[in-house]
Amino acid sequence: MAEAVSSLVLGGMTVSPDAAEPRTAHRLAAFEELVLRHQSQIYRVAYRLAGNHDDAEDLAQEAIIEAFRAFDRYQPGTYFDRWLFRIMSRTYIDTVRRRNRRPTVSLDAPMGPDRDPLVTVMGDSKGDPQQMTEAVDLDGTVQAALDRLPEEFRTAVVLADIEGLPYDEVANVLRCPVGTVRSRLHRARQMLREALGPHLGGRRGSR
Amino acid sequence: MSPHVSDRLSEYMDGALGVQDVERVRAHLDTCPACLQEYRGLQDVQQLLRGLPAPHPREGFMERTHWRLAREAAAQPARARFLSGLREAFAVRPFRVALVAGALVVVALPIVWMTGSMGPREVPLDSDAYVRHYVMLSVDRPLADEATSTFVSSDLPEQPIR
Repeated sequence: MAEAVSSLVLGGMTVSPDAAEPRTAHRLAAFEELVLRHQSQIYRVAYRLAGNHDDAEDLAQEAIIEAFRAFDRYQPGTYFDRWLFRIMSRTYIDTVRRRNRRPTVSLDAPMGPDRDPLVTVMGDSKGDPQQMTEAVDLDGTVQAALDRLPEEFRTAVVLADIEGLPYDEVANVLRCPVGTVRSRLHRARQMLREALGPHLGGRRGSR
Repeated sequence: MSPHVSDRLSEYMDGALGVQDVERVRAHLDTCPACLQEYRGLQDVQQLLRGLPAPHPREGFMERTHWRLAREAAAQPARARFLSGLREAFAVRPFRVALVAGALVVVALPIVWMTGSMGPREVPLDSDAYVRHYVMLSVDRPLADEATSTFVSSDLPEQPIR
């Protein structure tokens, strides 16, 4: 009897890792279905944060892998995209800080036509006659302005104005108080307004 | 003139202010061209951001993501095994091992007894076993309906056939 018991216990121990694999496959299938359903939002946020397709794909995939590792903690029925943005914003800020590749604008740095090369470039493209080219330029121009914001500001403005998340959800994603979101968002928009100023003026004038 | 409301303009735009603050900002904007200009600028920025075209991922993005995920999923059981192996390697204490083994036996014994006596009896239902049982049953009781009925219902008799 004791032999039977010990073989049963040992059998259970040797079998368990294999028995976990169908469960993993099931988890993977359920997870991928959610990713597929939200892929456009996931990629959009990754692209607006990263600023180009290479980095956007890396960021999106890293966030997706991280999310899969933590998938047990996702509560079914809640917003999957917002849960993933929470992971992505952390991945993004970690990546940027680790690589420290992209210089960010100091909050105290003066901005204006004389000092800001971005504004100078945009001033030159003001009189572009072709609408299609203008739309492409505009996207690039806005993205360049986004790229120049500090990470926390960029994340706040991407989530609020591009994804349309309310303040409390942005705060939840960024793990900070709502008051911090309010001020970051306002400051981010002010900086964008200053950077895009001539362009905004031109747009309004043409309509 | 009332004090400038620059700090409140984003919240005003997003509808995130209380009634009193909304009134205060609105009244100020009616009289202050500087704040009104800033407000219009913020509106333009928001409109511009909302109107940005959706970026399309590169061809095969989801496929590449799938392969990375599949690799991660394949690595997870191995990682779990590795981690539990590590944990065991660092936590081996003869006394503790004996204690755990003893506890396992104490827990497992009644389970084995209960499933042995009370649990549903597992009857092998693969095709080989079925045909073997059917043939033996037919030979044993050639005139009984039992063989045919078990064939139709595909229920095997509980008692092993002698």
